[in-house]
Amino acid sequence: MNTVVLATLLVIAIQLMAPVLWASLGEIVAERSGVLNIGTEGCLLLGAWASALVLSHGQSLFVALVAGIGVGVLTGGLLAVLYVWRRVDQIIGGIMVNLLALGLTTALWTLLRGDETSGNAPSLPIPLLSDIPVVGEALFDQNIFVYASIVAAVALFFVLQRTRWGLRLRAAGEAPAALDAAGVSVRRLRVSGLVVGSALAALGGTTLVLTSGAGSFVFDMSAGRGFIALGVVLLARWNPLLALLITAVFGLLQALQFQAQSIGWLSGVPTDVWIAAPYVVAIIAVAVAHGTRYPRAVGVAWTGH
Amino acid sequence: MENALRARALPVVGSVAMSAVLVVLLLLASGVNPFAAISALAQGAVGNAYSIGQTLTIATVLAFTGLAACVPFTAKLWNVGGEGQLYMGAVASVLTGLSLPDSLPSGVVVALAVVAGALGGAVWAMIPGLLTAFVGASEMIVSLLLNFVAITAASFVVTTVVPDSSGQGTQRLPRDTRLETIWPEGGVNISLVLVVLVVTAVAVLWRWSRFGFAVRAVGLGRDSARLAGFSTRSVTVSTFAVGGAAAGLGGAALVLGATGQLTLGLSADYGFIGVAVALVAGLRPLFILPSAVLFAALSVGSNNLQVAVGLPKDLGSVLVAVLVLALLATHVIRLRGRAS
Repeated sequence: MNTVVLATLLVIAIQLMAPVLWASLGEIVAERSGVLNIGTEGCLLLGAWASALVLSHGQSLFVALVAGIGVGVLTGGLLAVLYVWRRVDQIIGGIMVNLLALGLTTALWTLLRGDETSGNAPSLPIPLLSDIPVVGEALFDQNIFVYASIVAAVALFFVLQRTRWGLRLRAAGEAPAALDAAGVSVRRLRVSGLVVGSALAALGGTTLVLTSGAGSFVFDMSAGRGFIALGVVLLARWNPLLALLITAVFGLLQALQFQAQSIGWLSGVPTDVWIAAPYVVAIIAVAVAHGTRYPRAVGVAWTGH
Repeated sequence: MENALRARALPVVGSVAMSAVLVVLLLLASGVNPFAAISALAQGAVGNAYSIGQTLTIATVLAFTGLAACVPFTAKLWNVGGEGQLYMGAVASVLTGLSLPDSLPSGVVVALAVVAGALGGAVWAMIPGLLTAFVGASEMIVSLLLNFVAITAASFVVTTVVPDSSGQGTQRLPRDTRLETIWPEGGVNISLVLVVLVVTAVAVLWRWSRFGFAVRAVGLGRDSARLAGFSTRSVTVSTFAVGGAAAGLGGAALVLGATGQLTLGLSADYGFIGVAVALVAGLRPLFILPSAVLFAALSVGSNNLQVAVGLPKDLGSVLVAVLVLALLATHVIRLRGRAS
């Protein structure tokens, strides 16, 4: 394997990492607050759709960002109505929200899309560091949304550990009764967890559009990344920094489907094997992480205030 | 009595009205006359013999995937891998049909291909079943992720193992090794009879067998079922196997039907719509049949939206999802959380 192949592999890997990382961060926030959000996949898809839609009408990157977050917040609101207010079963509700997102994005993309082709987001080379051979381009000359996902992971770690909202959010997932006794509304915290989590996942969709080769929306383009995030979160034990590490490995796995042909001893393996690999690894991870204890109240609707 | 009826009927009427309003708003926003769209939908679903036949054919598949959800759901096990199990059934079925020697009587080939479909789905569903029973993995996440592996495997079979010239499907099975047509105008084949038999068999099992009792006992309370001497492990594995076999039969019905081949977009989310079918049937096996016909009508009818009023056919999934979410939100469909 020569250095050009390795460098390309790393560049693609980091780009593919970012959407799964955003989705995982969103899932961490939701699960920490006590909601198992299967709808993350749908949030990702809707975020991608909204960003691609405004870009196809010639709007700026900033508008695309706002559209992505906006759709995420709306979806989070819908999920909050279902899970928190109506106490709908979280698995069934999530599956249906994903079906809704898939149908809606496909239908409305054909109806509403514009003609502008939206390029990729500008890359932001960091001086000096980006000149390091091999890893320089991968790590320090990336799309701004890719940097942002890494910054968000670190920030979320501190928010969960050090802020009042983070502490209460974790309490809502671990011991909602205690939180309730302390006079804090469990429902309100879970609503905020779902809205913030969905917005983060939707940003994954925005990143997906801006790092994909097409630079546009493709039917079902989230392709199960939201579900892989469910496995990542379990393996990372709801820790954003560990999630960053694990999604990097998944990014590398996904990158192999584009680069394995150029790596001598891997070139004989059919591409389909590499396409399936991240899902298989996620399944193995879920099986290995079986002992991991979910936040105690995950999946159980809160019946009080 | 009257109050009880009102309490049950009101949410149903309310949620159907709510979804209708949402859909009409969506139609108006897309600049389409809602009446034209609804009549196009009805035309597409039951307008003539062929469309009625199509609705029945898809209802067959949806009843199979509905069972795939219903059987494990009854034990509070979330099999959301019906889509993948359907694909693996289709793969097993088409490969069996293509590889059996020509010297065998065609009836035997068809029968073996159907059995292979059921086995393919069952084996695939056993992966989450066994991982849940023996390792304690989340059956929901595992079955969900396996959908993507199955679809990739199916696309490998289509593009690499037995491709036809178009690259979009496998080689076609000879006409005499496809399922026998029982209603030529509608293009309905014998799988319709098969699904009625399978659904009835499950209903009988549920009502009168030890297995059915064990499944319901585990669904009502894991610990009490264990104390009563039922093995949660064997219930987990067997409900997944039965559910997977049903989804696999759905895949077999699709590939052994009119076209006689496995194609890349074989399933239009039938595995996921099966979850809706099972929920609207209230997890009662016999109710799966009318529920499947309802969702098949929505799904087939929406194909006509494109031709008649220029709306994308994917609005069909939107319709299904909105209806089920409204029924869930109004607590018409009730599911208690998993018993620990």
